[in-house]
Amino acid sequence: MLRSAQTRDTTSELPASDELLFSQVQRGNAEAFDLIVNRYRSRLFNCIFRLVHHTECAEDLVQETFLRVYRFRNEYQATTNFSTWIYTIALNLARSELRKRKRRQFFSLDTPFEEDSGERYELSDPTSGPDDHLHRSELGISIQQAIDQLPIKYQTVIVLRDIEELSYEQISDILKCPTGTIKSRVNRARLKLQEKLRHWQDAQ
Amino acid sequence: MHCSDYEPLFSRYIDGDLEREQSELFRFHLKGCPRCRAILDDMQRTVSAVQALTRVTPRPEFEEALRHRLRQEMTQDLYTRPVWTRWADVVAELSRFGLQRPMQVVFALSMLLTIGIGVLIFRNGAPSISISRTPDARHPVLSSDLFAAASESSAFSTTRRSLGGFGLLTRRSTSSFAPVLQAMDTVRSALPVDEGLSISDSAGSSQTLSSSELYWIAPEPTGNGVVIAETSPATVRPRRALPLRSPDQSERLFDLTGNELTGKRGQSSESTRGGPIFDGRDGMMHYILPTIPSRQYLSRVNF
Repeated sequence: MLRSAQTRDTTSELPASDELLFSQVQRGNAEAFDLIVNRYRSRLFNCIFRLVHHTECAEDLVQETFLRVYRFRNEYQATTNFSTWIYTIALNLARSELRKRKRRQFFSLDTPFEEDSGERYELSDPTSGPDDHLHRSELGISIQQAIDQLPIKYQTVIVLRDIEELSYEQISDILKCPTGTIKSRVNRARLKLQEKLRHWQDAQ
Repeated sequence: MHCSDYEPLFSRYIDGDLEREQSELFRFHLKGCPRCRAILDDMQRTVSAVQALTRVTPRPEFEEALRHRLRQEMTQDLYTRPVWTRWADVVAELSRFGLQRPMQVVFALSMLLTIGIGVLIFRNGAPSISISRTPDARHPVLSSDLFAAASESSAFSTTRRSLGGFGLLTRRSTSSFAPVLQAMDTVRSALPVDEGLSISDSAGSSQTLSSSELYWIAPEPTGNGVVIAETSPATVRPRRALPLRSPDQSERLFDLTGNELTGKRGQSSESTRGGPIFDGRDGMMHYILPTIPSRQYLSRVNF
């Protein structure tokens, strides 16, 4: 069955919403996919980095996310939010990585861990800019360390709610949990986080 | 109500998620409870501090590497789909671009016209490579006049094999290898060290590879194996050199002169046993090379 051909140049008239844009991707529009990648590349990197806290790993996972988005593009249905779908893929990859690490007990926050192969998971500083004081500052590092020490389910909601600033409903869709569960999980995660930071502050 | 009844509501109060009546009750409780006020203030500060964390961005070279990899994926997808879907793409492509992009149109047409017909590609005087499709073959087959010459050599014998939509020259490759390369890439096992091979991909970009950019996965330097080519770069710091071998030693990585390659073990559950890096996500395998101060992914091999 032949698909109906486009009779006009759509490159300058691509629709704005992610859902309509991705429907172009499903029809084979490579430029639409480029736009999707541009829209989500940095957002996904920031989200994933705050979970795995390793630049190269985060880049790998972002790449894998887009690969899966492309490979499974025909499975996406516009009845669901595209943002939810891509974040779900990204989060699943990131959480798998975290679970793998915790099983292998690679991660040491007190000292950078060197695996037998020489892989190092250290607190990296991938950005530099005039306003990155909270990344480089001791507080910023401690916040990241405290997030890293949370159970995975709490790490995830902290990143999605307070860093990515997604709504409770979006987080509920992404994690496939009832909204009420997400709200209480965010509450407990924040309480745990502030407890860890209080210990740090007391030690200062 | 006790403090313990209000504790689950702290977050929702900060986020403005409480109903009006709930919110008023909560505020009333806070007026008379210094403990809850302290916890709430603490939580507010924590949330603000987390929100103030700088947004991190990937390294500048990541964007190009990502685009390259995605383009590979999209091109590979084009060649592994059934022919009739390619017909639809050709029609759509022709209609959309018309004569504004003649090279893409020519390319799409040539894919169809090569059924049962050989197509010669000449690139800057490099050895000729032909692509053909026989009725009983599912995918294009790559061949070259150099292959025939190589097969006469006593050092090895060659067979041409097409799998996964790409022509892949192998030295009697085994069925366990499934090649995945950029579409239209041609790989030869009999390439003199100082001779370059020009290749092009479906996007129209071309490059010249020397034998130093081609690699051989095999149990031994000669015999059965698969030739693969270097693909998109990434960057990491060099690591301690270790033999790049699969856990059962059946796959080792050689250059075309027969030297075994070493590199780092990476993020793999097999790392303690050594071997090429299996990323495990979908059976894709990466090899890491120590020859440059950055990590390079070779063509991924599907299992």
